[in-house]
This record gives sequence, C-alpha cells and structure tokens, in this order.
Amino acid sequence: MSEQKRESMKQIEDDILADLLELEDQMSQYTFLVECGLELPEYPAALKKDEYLIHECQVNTWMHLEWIDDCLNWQGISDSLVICGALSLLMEIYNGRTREEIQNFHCSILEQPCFRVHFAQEQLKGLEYMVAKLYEHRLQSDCVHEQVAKADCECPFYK
Amino acid sequence: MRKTIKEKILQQKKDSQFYVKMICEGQSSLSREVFGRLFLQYMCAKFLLEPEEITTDNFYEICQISAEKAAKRPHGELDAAEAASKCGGATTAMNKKILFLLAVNREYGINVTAEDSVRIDTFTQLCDCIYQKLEEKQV
Repeated sequence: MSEQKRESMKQIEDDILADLLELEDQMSQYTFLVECGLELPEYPAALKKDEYLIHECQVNTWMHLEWIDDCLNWQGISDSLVICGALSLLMEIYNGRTREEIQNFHCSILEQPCFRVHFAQEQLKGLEYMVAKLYEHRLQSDCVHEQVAKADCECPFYK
Repeated sequence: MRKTIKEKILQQKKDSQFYVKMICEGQSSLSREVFGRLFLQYMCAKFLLEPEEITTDNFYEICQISAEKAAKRPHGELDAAEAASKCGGATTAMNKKILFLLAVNREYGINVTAEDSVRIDTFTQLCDCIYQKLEEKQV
C-alpha cells in the first residue's frame, strides 16, 4: 500500500482560510480562533524564560524553535487566548516541516482579512515578528550547516 | 481537531439561528418575558453556554464566563492575565461582548449603537433594549 501523500504547507494554509470563510461571521471566526488556541500543546514551564519571551508582543508570549530530525518543532504559548489560536494555526502549517519546505513557502495567512480582522495592530506586529523570527532561525541554522545567504529568505515579514 | 471545532461552531450557529427565527417570526405576539427566555437561549448558543451556567445578570461577566469556560480557567483569572499583559487588543471577554452585539444587529436587523452598548450593564438591560428596538422596527 502506498503511503498517503502529506498535505503541503500551502494546502494547510488554504484549508484554514477556507474554514474561517465558511464560518462567515466575525463572532464565529473569533470563537474558532479561541477554541483552536486551547488545542495548543502544553508549553514546558522550563521554556518560559526571558530569552524566549517575544518582547515585540505586548501580551506575554513565548516561543521556542528547534529542529528535530531536520524538521521544525515550534512551541509557543501566550496569555491571550486569541494569540494562542493564531499560534496553533501557524504551528499546524509550520511544524514538522523541513528547511526546504519552509524556504519554498510564502506565508500569507497573516495578510488575509478574515484572519487579520481579529487582531489589533500591535498583535499583528507580534505575530509577524514571530514568523520572521522563524525564518531567521531557519537561516541561522542554514548559515551554520549549509551557508545559505539571507537574501534567499522567503519570509514576507523578514526585515 | 480543527475540523471538530469548526463543526461545533457551525452547529452552534444553526442553534442560534433557530432562536432568531422564533423571535423574528413571533415578534408581534411575544411578551417581554417570553422574548427574554428565547433571547437567553440564543445568547447561550452564541456563547457555547448552558442556561444554568449563567449565574449572573452582569453582561460583561457572562462574556467572561463564556471565555473562561473555553479556557478552563477560574473566574477572573483569564481577564486579569490579559489585562495585566497590556495586550494591544481587548480582553477575550470584551471582544466577545462587542462581537455578540454586532451579531445581534446583523441577525435581528436592528441597530444597537455604541452609546447603547456603553449603557448596557446587565443582560436584563440588553433584553429591554433589543425588545424595544424590535418593537420600533415593526412600527
């Protein structure tokens, strides 16, 4: 029996956006985000250190990135339920992906009105920073192991 | 899990629409008391709550109960954490309150204004306001 092909990052992102659009109204979408946030895997207390705190977020939010068997393992948590929801969806897209998959993926969920509308400007900045940090992390790892130049970064938020 | 969450919310939408239909179709003959009971069911469907879980008339607290039920957090803790973090956005309970009023406006075809929402502290006041606006709409 052949192994079932895994959905691409783009397919997962599209599927998440389709779910949000199917819910139609803002209250249902907001509830969806909050409920998704409750599905975040437990964030280890030992990783609630200042070095993992996202200072660009006004609300207390931590993220920890590591590569396990060359696949991304993104952990995170926030004091804000709706930010947890955003993290949960972003992790669904990014976790378990290789550097190559991430490099070839253009993240657009944060630009979509059905997603953006639920966050204040400051919250969006925090989310964008986290995605940028992720690409930066990938590049740092690549720079050590593969000498990939920063110019190759596909992250739309990378400054 | 994401799909299960979506299905649960779509079902909740269906449930709340049932009460919108009952209220709008029976509008002319509904007493304030019956309207209040139906509107409570509508709000419970929207907030994913059971009527017996609503232990206060304070509308903001009801929104808090809804957020806390989802987060499985003790009363007041979630709000305190979000407020203490000085998050760029409002608390989950405040967002729920605003989004609920926007949904009421859209689904009942009325206009609960920003001034009204500031004035409304309790669920009873909210029912009075909406009942009155539905009556005005009929005239």
